[in-house]
Amino acid sequence: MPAILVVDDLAADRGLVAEYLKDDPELELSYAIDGAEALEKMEQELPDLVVTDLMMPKVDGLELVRACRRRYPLVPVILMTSKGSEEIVVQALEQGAASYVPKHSFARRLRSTVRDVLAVSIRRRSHSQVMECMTRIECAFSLENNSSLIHPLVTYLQERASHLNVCDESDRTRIGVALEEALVNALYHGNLDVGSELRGEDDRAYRALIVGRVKESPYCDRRIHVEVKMSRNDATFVIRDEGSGFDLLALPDPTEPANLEKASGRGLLLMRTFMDEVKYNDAGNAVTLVKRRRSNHPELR
Amino acid sequence: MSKPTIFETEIENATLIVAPRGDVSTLAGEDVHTELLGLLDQLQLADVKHVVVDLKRASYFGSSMLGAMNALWSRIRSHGGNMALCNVSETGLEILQVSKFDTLWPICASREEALKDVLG
Repeated sequence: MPAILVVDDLAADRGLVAEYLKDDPELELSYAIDGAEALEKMEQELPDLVVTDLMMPKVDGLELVRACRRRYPLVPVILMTSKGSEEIVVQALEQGAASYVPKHSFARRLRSTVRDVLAVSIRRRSHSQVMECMTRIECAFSLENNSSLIHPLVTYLQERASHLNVCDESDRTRIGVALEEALVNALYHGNLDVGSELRGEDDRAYRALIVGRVKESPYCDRRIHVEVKMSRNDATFVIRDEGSGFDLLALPDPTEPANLEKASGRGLLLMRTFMDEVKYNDAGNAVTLVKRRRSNHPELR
Repeated sequence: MSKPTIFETEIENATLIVAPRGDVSTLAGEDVHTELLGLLDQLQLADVKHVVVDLKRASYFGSSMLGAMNALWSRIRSHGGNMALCNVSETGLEILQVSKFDTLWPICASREEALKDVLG
């Protein structure tokens, strides 16, 4: 029986939701008076769906959407909206809310929206359960110099690492930061051969050079190659560009007080901080990043 | 100029408050830099003396955000102003510590504390 958590500080509106959903005997409703209480209840028992108001004391609907997205990505959130909340609704949808129903349309739309979102959620959860049965994955990608490909690739790799249980939620973020830095380095400093020192000196010239080289040979013909091997114990990512490489030793230590304000080296520093192993090849155009499952992170059975 | 999507800003007590609307991925570097130019313009306003960066909605950020904060700090420092950060997540704090920026900028628990800090 799908469990739905209804979050609203107004008892009358909670009652309204109950009224419109009561005819569906398959739904089990519980209630919270604001986002803070909702999150407390979710810690005890996860619902299949959250239906929330936006304007509430303590933790409001937007914050609740963010928290759910971060902590419980498989639990969808439907917003109950009122006139005048359009801007917040757009923000909430951007940040992961599954859908919204204006309060004046409850009669027409609440039940059908709940049913549709639950159906999608159940399919996602089944998919996730199958993915958690995976024990090993190897894959390779060849990317054009298009920065918009990087985020979906990183998200895909983060998801696979989570399914294999290599990382917990905070390590998932760390893996994401490190991969993004490595891929951005491969794209801008590797394939497009644009040095970060120019960014510190003349930001407009730095950006103009990037825009020009994306269309200019030989830069535009280069690719970023990504090879991935993951098991339930570790994940290895090899990211190689087709640029001329760089001298690792010539890179200034960004944590030295004299270099603190220079733009160079911060990406590599973040990679080294968030991965267990970071190695460049001799040519300086391929980096191997390794993340191991922490010993205190439980193994999957 | 197009509508800012990365940062929200407001001015309070002679302080420009800059708040990312969400996580600031390094991939957003281009947008971060575009919007940074607008933020730097706001620092030229006569009534802006200090900067507070409120990271409440950014659970993480990468090197482009570090670069943007550094640019803001360089500019406000050259005018004799101060900068402080607030509402920094655990991962954000780790990033600031490893890059040693925590030695340059006070990290406060709340926006109110950060405003007090910059006003001295």
